[in-house]
Amino acid sequence: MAEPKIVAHGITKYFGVGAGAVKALEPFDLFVNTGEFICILGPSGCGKSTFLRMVAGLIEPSTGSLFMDGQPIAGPHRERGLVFQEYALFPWKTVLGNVMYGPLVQRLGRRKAHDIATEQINRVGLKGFESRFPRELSGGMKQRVGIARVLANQPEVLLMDEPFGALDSITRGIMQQDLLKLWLEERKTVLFVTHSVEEAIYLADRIVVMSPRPGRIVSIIAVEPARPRNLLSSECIALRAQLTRLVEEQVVSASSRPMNMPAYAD
Amino acid sequence: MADVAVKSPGPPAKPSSHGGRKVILNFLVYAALPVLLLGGWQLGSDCGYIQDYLLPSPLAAVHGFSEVLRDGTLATNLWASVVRSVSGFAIAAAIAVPFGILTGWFRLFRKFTYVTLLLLVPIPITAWISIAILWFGLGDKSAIFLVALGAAVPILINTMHGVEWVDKIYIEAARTLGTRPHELLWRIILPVALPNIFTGLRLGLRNSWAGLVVAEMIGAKSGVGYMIWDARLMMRSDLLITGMFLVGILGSLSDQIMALVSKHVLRWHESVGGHDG
Repeated sequence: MAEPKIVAHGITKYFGVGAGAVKALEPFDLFVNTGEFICILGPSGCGKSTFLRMVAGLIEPSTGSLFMDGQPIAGPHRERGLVFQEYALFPWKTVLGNVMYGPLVQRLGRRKAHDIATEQINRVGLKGFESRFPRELSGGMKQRVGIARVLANQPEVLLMDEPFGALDSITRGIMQQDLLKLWLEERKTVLFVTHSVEEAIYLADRIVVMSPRPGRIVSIIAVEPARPRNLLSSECIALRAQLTRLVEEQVVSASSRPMNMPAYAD
Repeated sequence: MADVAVKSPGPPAKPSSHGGRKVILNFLVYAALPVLLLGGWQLGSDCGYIQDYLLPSPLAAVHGFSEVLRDGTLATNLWASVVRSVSGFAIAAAIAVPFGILTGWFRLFRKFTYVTLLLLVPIPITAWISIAILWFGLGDKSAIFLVALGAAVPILINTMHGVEWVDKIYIEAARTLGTRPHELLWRIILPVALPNIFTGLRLGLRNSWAGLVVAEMIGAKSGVGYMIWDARLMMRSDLLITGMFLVGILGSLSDQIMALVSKHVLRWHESVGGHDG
């Protein structure tokens, strides 16, 4: 196997200092291969988004080291594009303006930026919406813009922080299918944070299951069935049962909830 | 891509039935109160309930208005006021917007100026009149100074808060898209703060009229404020009323212009009914 795309080695994260410091991440080791689709699965507050932001270069680990292509990650870079759950589109820019933003900041010139943006807008299925402002779009369309905006930067790694978490389940399903199509075209390395077991099974090559705060890796599970996956196949159902149990065990033990209480997923 | 197909490009058609009747009804609702007030006022004057030297009738005010219109003093005074207002406001915007951005963006500078602003900002514009005359003498300069000061305070405060409270997520998005740190102010902070800046400009413009009128009453020999002051000295209550109406009209006209500019510049901004489902 070739050198991993991303290496996390002994990462920890504390918020605050001194006695009041909160431990968000336990020592955390992860190897992500080039072209791999990794889902990080865990309950709310398990530090999975924290880890993603470290890979994005937005926050620094308290200890440990992070590498991309063998180089330490120091600050944000366009080669690691981040898609936000809250979309984070620039509301004063049109769809076209949002997607052109990255190429313009790279000083590729207006003409080139326009061509790149138009292509990515077409890819995510928003042709005809170029001159709309974000407030005129539905949640699903906003996230399409969010994805196009990052893809226009030609990133090597796509970081997605619960990108479909705010969408209704129907839109969510469609977005998952379309994301998979986009990914199969280019096979970029993807780190996808989610708290949905089904989403992880549908999308991932490997699923990293995390425990609640302080977050640590409980298990890494490879998803074998060929894509597109049928979540109702016996393999997927078995996997789903296994993962749900894993996640629930973590939540239950963390909240010291009596075992005879009805457990909850998600 | 089903969620895309739901909405097609192009604005939704507006229902146009009963549009005409609605316009007339709306007009009636808007016009009712002013018409009632003016009618009651005129009636009260005609029947002798309102003393003429305290409050002249609307018709008397109209006569006074046509008098100053014909002898040219109206045009002179209006022009003087408009020039002072526009130049004072322009100076205020040119200084207060950049200053507000600095104080909002650089925490150290904000701390550095905090106490000074805390003490200076609550001083009402009327309290500055004496020192304005002391510094600039009677005339345009002290009036422009007071207009600028009146406008500057709301512009500064709102710009500062707009810049200070920029949602961090836009900065994170910009940085992961490759924005260099020194470009953040121009590319992200400024556009995000723009709605607040415009709120400040609009409040500042409203505030500046108080400065203008006070300055012209005491520190000038022309302008609508001077007109009101002079009318009182000359016992011309009809001209006094005319002057007050002029201030009202100038104020609301300038406010409407500002609202239009702001609506155009901020057309991307979330407004009533602009949210998605």
